[in-house]
Amino acid sequence: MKAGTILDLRKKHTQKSLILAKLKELGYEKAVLKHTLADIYDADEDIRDAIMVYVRDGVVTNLCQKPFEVEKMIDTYHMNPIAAMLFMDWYRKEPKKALQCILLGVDEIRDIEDDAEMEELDVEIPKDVQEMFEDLEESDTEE
Amino acid sequence: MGFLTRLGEGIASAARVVGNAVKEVTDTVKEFVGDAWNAITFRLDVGYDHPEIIDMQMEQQSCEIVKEVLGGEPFDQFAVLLPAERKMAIENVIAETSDMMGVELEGIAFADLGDVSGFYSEKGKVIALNEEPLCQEVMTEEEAMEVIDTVFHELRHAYQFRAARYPSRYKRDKLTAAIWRLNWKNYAKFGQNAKLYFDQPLEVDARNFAISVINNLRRS
Repeated sequence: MKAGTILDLRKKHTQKSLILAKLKELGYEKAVLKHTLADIYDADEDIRDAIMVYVRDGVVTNLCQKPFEVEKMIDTYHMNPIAAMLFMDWYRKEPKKALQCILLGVDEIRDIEDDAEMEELDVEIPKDVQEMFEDLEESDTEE
Repeated sequence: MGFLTRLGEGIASAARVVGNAVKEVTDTVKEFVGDAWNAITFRLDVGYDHPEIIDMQMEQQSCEIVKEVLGGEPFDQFAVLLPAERKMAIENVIAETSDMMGVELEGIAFADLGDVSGFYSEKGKVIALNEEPLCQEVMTEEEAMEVIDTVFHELRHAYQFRAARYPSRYKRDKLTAAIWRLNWKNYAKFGQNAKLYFDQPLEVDARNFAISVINNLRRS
């Protein structure tokens, strides 16, 4: 294996550890953490770079994708900076859907009490839905 | 006669003591084996094969409740009410609809929620709505529609939680119930990941239910 490849892998690993630590610090758990990590990797390069700057240095780059701005999204919708930057990426790729999400109004389910483990339920969940809610530990160990 | 009265009172008092003790023991056991108990009851539940019929009935009955409270042109009627009357109308709609759905709620709250339309709290069994749009003097038909949409969206969340636990009682198939349970263990908040929030099953279902009610009201 070439030295450059090893360095690239090490850099990638360090980046991933930093992002994971930040997401955990921001309160991300389980499947939401896993999907958000995947969304960061799938994001456009400038957005990914802005997220890395925030993760490494705590500096928020005010990305703009008219009519949205990262700082305004943080203020208006109480999004954390990573979520606001990922929203920009979503708006670039699926503007109609992202706009619809904002226009339909935002709500929340709060204080969800933990319940029985899914393994104990006798229902066969379709594979695509299973993948949606897979825990991070599983996908994390694959790499 | 005095003796018999005293004996009756004694028996009633003893029964109350025994009843309280039994309840205390049952509650402690339930608390102790909570998760396992939920898993067992879910496993034994056979579910319900045609939830689409129930959804249709629920949508129709919801429309009837809105029309009963607000009249034939509910959005117009709601928009011209005074702020306090709007809150009362919403409280009535929520009380009647939650009753129809078999969902017990502890309360309804109106608060300044910023840009959040509303929320459902499972622990407190509370539906909270942003009071800002309700308090404005002039309300458009469109804004009235949005408020009523939020009411049914949050009511559906309250229903989802019960249906996910007791599918047969709430006429839901077991697969949907299991998916909802899985989702509530992994609920994505808008402030964390907007795309994931928008696409998750609990939100898609609540959105579709509320839109169906609104469309039914507009058609009629």
